[in-house]
Amino acid sequence: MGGDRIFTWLTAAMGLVVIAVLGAIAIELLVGSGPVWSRFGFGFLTSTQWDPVKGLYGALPYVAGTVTSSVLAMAIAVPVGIATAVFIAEFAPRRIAAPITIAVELVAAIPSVIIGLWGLLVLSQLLSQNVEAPIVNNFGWLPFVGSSATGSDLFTASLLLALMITPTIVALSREVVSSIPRMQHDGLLGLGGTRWEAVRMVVLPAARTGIFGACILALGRALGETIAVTMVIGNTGKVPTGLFDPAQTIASQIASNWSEASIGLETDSLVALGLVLAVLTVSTVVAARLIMHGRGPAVGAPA
Amino acid sequence: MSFGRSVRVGATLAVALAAVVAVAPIVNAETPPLPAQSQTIRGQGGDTPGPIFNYWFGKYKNAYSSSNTTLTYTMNGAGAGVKAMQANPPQTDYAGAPTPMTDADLAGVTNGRTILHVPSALGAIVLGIKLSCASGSITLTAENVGDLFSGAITNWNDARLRTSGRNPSLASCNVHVTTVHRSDSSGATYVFTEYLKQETTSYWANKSSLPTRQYNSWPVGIGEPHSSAVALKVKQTNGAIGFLETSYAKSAGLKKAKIQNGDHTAFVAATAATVTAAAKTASVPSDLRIQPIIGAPGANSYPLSTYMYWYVFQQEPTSAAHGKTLISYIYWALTTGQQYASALGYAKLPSSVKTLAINQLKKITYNGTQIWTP
Repeated sequence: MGGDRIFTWLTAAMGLVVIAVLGAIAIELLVGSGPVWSRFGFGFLTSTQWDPVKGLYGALPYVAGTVTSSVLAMAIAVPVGIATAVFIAEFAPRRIAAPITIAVELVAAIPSVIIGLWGLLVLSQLLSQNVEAPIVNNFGWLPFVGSSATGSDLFTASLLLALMITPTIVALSREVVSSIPRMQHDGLLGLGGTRWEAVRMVVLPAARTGIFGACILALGRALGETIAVTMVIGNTGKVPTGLFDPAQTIASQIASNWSEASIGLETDSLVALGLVLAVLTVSTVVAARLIMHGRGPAVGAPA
Repeated sequence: MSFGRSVRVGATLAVALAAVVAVAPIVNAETPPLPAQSQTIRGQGGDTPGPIFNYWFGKYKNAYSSSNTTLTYTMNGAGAGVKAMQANPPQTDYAGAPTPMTDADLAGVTNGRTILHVPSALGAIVLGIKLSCASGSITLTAENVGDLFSGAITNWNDARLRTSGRNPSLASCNVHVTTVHRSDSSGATYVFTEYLKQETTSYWANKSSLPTRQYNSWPVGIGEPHSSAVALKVKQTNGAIGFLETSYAKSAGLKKAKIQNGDHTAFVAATAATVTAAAKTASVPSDLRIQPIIGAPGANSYPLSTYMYWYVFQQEPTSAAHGKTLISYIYWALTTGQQYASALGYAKLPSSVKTLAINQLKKITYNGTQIWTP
């Protein structure tokens, strides 16, 4: 009885520590950025100027860069990730499924800075010469295609982010898909359905909640990724109008400027940027939870 | 005394005098300070002096292999090095940068210590170019440099790059200009923006925020963190131009532009000789905070020259043994280490500056006691 109580209190304390840390971070972000909000108000979120000498700061280019690169990364990673997970769990013979699973986990384990270096050394040059230059030269009249094709831009950063978050989606989705009870799945096959129909009508709906959760985790990582992105995004504080324009994310801007920021409005503005990113991430998680809650857990899926 | 005998005596005395005069500079006025055992000297700062600092570490450890000294230099940006020196307690043993600390930097020191500036070598910021259709060297006037980085010149076949018969091979180069700058805190950016402000007359001349280590308002171009990434990006992109220290441009095999000198009389390449010639024209204040040598007069002076600095504490924070080792390393670099400078893309200190630099080391104290008393 005594040991039980101690154990309960201990685990409760651990849980409370997590909440306390979260609270401390939130308070620090709010207090640290206070001067910025009182000085600029919500104009901070719509301004495109970042001029420490004139004392003008604005978050719009960085919010635009963060949101655009993350959404594009998700647009690539989600279909690829889910398809890979379904393939591994449903269709692949074990001899193929195992190496693919290991390969995916290895990619997830590569440190961000290495992926960033690879992005700079290999990917940006590859894309610049083989994808961006032909498109800009021949299809420059299309919207969202600008005139630059340097390889250090939104497109390369989005692809790199997609590479980094796909393993998260694959690993978690595979877990969810393979833990679905086989009863309905086998029943549908017994009734004459194809394997694709079984996946479409039984597996995916049942795994929906878990897959959605995996995607939200992946989006969270994409929003906050710093080192890999700063190598390939071009670090230019302008709202990107074309896919191949250089841009800047919140995380990369904070990382580039922190060591030089003068104490005062400049450091406070970087903290305010951090607050914006935190709010962005938290609101996507909250929105996702609300959507999942509305749909409710499907039969047999983990809650 | 006969005439012949007096000639012989005179000649002997003259030879003896010449021998003394010739030998005197070789004999150092002081004995080199030795390192203490197993000390760790940590440094932080800009990329620009990085290559020579890292080279010196290896050579110093060979010279004093029994002392088991650990020497590090973390290249996290000139601004980070300054912040580490300002912090209370100090976050580093020394910092490195290609520029002296500004008055604002010195005013921001919170640990109550005096910071000594010790020049280590001379260096040059070059414009590295990758342009496969250009043959021979590329010459650039100051206005060309300003226009390339302001976006006024967007293509390498622009006529402004071929005035007075320069760069004839560029006429057929229909390649878009991509400028590459540093996105992080950088001493090279400080030197280059000072050049842009001082030497060009249109876009950059009136920018009150220049020179600066961190410039966020480049009108065109892409930013890369660290000089090594700038070098890599320029190397990979046809039509790219970036500013970086000579050794990075050399390692990446970039074309280095010849830039018009301060008098507008010649186009000068960055070599040890041209950087040294520029340095001769710089005034040396008593605190050794020599500003970047921009647009130095003289037909052979490279206009983007600067000293590579160590920032060290006059009041050593850690221990006398630690201070002794730091002094030993710096003294070695200022004497024996100078011979390696030009091969690496830097240049030796002028001897007058070297003497002043060595004198700075004599000011370092621990608990009020001078550490090195030669």
